[in-house]
Amino acid sequence: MLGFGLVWHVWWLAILCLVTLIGTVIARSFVRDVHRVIPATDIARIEQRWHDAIVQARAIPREREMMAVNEGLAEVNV
Amino acid sequence: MSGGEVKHPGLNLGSTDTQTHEQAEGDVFGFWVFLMSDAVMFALLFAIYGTMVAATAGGPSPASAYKFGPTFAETLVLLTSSLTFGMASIAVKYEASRPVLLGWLVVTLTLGLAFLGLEFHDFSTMIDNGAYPARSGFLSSFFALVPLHGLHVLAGCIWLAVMMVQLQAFGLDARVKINLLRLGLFWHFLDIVWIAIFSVVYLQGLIR
Repeated sequence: MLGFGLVWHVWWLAILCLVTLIGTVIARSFVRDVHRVIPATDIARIEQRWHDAIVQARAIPREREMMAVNEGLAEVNV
Repeated sequence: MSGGEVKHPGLNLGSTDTQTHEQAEGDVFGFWVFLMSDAVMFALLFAIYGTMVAATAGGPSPASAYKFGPTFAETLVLLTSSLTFGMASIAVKYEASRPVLLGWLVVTLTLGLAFLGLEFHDFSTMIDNGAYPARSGFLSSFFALVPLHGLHVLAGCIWLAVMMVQLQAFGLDARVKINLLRLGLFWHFLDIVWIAIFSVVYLQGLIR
């Protein structure tokens, strides 16, 4: 939006965007706690749910790939 | 200073844990990379100025547009501000009291703002005397180079003010110390660019 204002000489927009940009960077620098700890149990649970979904998914052929029945698992004939 | 431990030169963090020192090395190196990209930008503008310095288009020449007095004053002010920032860095390293550190930062900020005031006055005088950016290629390239340095100094002043606030809010924790290191690098870098400016632009223009 800053670029738009500068290109089309919309000075109020350009100045507003510039001030917001700089203000956001400065404000962000005051946030100290930016780390999050994800427990291993959470990861295990999410991963297990994903594995279960793969096991239960239906492998569909290429002809049906555009239909709603396609859950994301492709039929592979090795 | 803990004995026997070899620390990276220039990392004036005082007595801090090893992890902070290691992080500081990466952060400071990254900032050097940014400074070098900034230097490329200034180098290009210097080169353009060099090719355009004769393109006066019948307008003001360097000798008639530049004034020695204000340039000298600006130089003294900016170089002194680098000195005072160095004193602030030493205050961080040797763990001086908070008012001392804050005092040196305030002096640096004041000198930086004084520099900006002098430069602004300089530019408005030039423009009043008919040496405005659109007058000639020489003046366009001058006003591209020198105000860019001025904008950098303005950004440095804003950064200084923010650091002083953060110093009061968070004390001298690892983040604030590393950011003060980077601000120091930025400030001294601007000093070096100014030395190049007054040598290549002002002195070269005024001796002809």
